[in-house]
Amino acid sequence: MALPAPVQRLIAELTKLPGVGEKTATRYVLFWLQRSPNAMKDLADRLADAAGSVRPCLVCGYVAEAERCGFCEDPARDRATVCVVESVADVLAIERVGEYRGLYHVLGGVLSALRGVGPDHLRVAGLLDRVAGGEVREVILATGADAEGETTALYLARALGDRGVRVTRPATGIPMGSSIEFLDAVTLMRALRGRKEIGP
Amino acid sequence: MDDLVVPGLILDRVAYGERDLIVTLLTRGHGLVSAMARSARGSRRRFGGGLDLFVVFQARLRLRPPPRLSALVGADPIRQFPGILEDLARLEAGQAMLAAARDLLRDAPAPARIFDLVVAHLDRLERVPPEATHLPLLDLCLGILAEVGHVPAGTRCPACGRPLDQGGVLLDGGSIVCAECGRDVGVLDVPPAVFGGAPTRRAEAIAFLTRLMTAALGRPYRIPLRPE
Ligand SMILES: [Zn+2]
Ligand SMILES: [Zn+2]
Repeated sequence: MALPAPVQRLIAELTKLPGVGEKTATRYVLFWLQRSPNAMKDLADRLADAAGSVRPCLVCGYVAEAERCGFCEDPARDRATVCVVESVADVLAIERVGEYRGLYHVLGGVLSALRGVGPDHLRVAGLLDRVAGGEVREVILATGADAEGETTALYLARALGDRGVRVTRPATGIPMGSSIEFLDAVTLMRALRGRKEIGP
Repeated sequence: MDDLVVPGLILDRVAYGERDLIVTLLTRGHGLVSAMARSARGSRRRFGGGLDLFVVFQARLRLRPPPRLSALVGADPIRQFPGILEDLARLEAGQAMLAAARDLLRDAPAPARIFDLVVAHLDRLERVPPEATHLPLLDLCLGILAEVGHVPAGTRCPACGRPLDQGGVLLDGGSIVCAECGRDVGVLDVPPAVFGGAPTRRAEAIAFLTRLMTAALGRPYRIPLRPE
């Protein structure tokens, strides 16, 4: 006997999640069903809550409960520095380090000719507007260290070039704790080309 | 089935799940292969930087008959193009080249010559000045279309043998013939410079390529380059 149609539809919906196949989705649904119908109702309520109350921040694109997110509203953050990242997950990664005190700008992806993604598909115009506002002194371009991330960083660097802000990019190179011997040729070549002088 | 070990180049890649990547490879002699690259993303990447664009690598492929996806189980870099990665114009043109190769070769056989052609034009792209990056793109597209039978490989009209140094016309379907043979049926004049070897201006080349690719693929095509 196949599972009832509503259960099958739920399983199909869950397989849209990253890393969740049909087996895993079925396991989740059976887990909820076995706990109690209330467990599923609670989950549905949480989903409805989130869907109804959360949206991208109008300034930076991070997740917000109002027009502006917690970072943009926080008076303790340094408003002169904006770190540009591809996704919300990148913000969470940088926040885990606890080193950065500036604001963010979430592009929502990277430029990609292969995927047909141009500047109009990303929060590029919003970034230029923020910089034109005059408060920003430094823009950190923290897109990925692959071809598309590099393209996006170079594109933004050029767009920001004549706007009187300092434009920086996090260093890429040899990962900490690894020895040269075991590095792949691509990482090693890029690390060598990105080398910098060290003091006496 | 034994693993296939063959030089390859990424033409396209999409994230799959949290850690995997589905790649479209142009292989030397085995055409386009779509393959799953397990654990290609995330904190313990299995292929290092090897699966980036603009890296030629020795691919180890576990081929599986369709509809099953083949698996990429190894990728040892053998050639890189650092000159492309350092310049925005070259990066943009290089990605336009990969996209064009992917789109033109999707349903066409791709012999080893085509692989060599793509690598040779990436090599050229590394060395052209930023304002001339449209030229390797134009030549690569013409080269691939010549290989798949659309565009004359030499500089003579495929219908009558007349030299094309006075230019030609593009036919619906992507072929190029001389003005005489293409009279009344041509959809676009082909600038003589395309065949004469003289540099074509950027805006002209992009407009021409847009029409050429649209005709060859039978659907609207956008060249992802700015015409200035
Ligand atoms: Zn915000
Ligand atoms: Zn003719």
